[in-house]
Amino acid sequence: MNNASQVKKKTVYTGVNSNEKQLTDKNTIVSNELLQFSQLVSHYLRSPIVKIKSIMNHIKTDEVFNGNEAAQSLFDHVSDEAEKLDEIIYDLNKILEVYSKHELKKYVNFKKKLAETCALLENEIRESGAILRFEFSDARGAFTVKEYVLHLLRKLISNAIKYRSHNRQLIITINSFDEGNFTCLMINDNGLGIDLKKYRTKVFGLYNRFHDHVKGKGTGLHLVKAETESLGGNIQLESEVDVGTTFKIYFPKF
Amino acid sequence: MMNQFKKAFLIDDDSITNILNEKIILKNQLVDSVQQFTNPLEALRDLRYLLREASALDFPDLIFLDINMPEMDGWKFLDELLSISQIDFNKCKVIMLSSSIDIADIQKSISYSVISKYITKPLTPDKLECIRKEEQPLLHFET
Repeated sequence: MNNASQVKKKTVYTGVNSNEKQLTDKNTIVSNELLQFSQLVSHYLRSPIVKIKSIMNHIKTDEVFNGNEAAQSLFDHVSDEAEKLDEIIYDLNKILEVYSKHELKKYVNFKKKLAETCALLENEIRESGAILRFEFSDARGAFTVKEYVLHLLRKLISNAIKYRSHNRQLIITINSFDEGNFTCLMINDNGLGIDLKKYRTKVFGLYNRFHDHVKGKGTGLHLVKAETESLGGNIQLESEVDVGTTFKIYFPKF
Repeated sequence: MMNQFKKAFLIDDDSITNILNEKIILKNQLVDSVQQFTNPLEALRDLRYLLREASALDFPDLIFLDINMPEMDGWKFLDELLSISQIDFNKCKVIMLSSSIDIADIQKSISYSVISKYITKPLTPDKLECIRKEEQPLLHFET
């Protein structure tokens, strides 16, 4: 495994004071354990599932059921569950990856990333007839990981489209500003909104969805939060049912 | 119809995996023949023998290689393979076939120029089609 270099990166002593060194050591232990756990998930836990899946693939093609519909249907259920289990392992692996790996921060320009996101979501945006407004003149970018910005823009804009109100034209407003030691990226929509009295603690949880009419696994927001927090930032959420939702993503300036 | 590839080596410490992979590879007619190995050392011995004694035609066109194996892992096997100077890696393609979705494994496989593809298990007809067309299949659930 080539994880040694990543662990090493985290043990670099900053030379400020002994407390800080202790903290760095502790972080190293934590990230070491996370790395091990991540390997456990990505390989050892996945391995038997993969074997189950490939055995099932063969049974299916071998036509052993000879028209026995009941048996076939039970078999299909087992197949589906194996697939779901594999997807969960994949999600878990993604989340662990965010916490256990040291990503390189660079200056990321918001407007560029928004343009890339809009290109990716072109069809959804066109079909929904959404109007996108943006204003980045107060803070043109942030010191962060570009994949994370792309991911959060894609996730939040596609969420705004999925959970739009059919009673009004969807307007998505994206802007940015500085606040203390943070740069904030704000994404607002006039969609269905989320009942925060009921769901505040669940919004960023894994596998939670709040509207039944749309498909989704419910991992995206959790991952966006994990990515933001792994870099020392945070996410805030304001929402009112049938008025709209505002996400504020704070990136530390240093 | 002639298959584009003649022979494949399957190297995986799990014999069931080898059996299932052989079935799917032959069924999809990716190669004419398959040879299974549960011990990478035996595969190395066979490869050396083929280079020494037999004609170049008997050498495998494809090697499917697992990563996590007890006696010798996939990376060590690759290092051994690279030390055999007579092998023409343009004619013998190495495909990593692992259940690992660890990004570190995927990155490491990219760093080896002789690895033509990284494929996550299970092997499916779609992924075999990618090998035939010499494309990199999607890694797992990526979209």
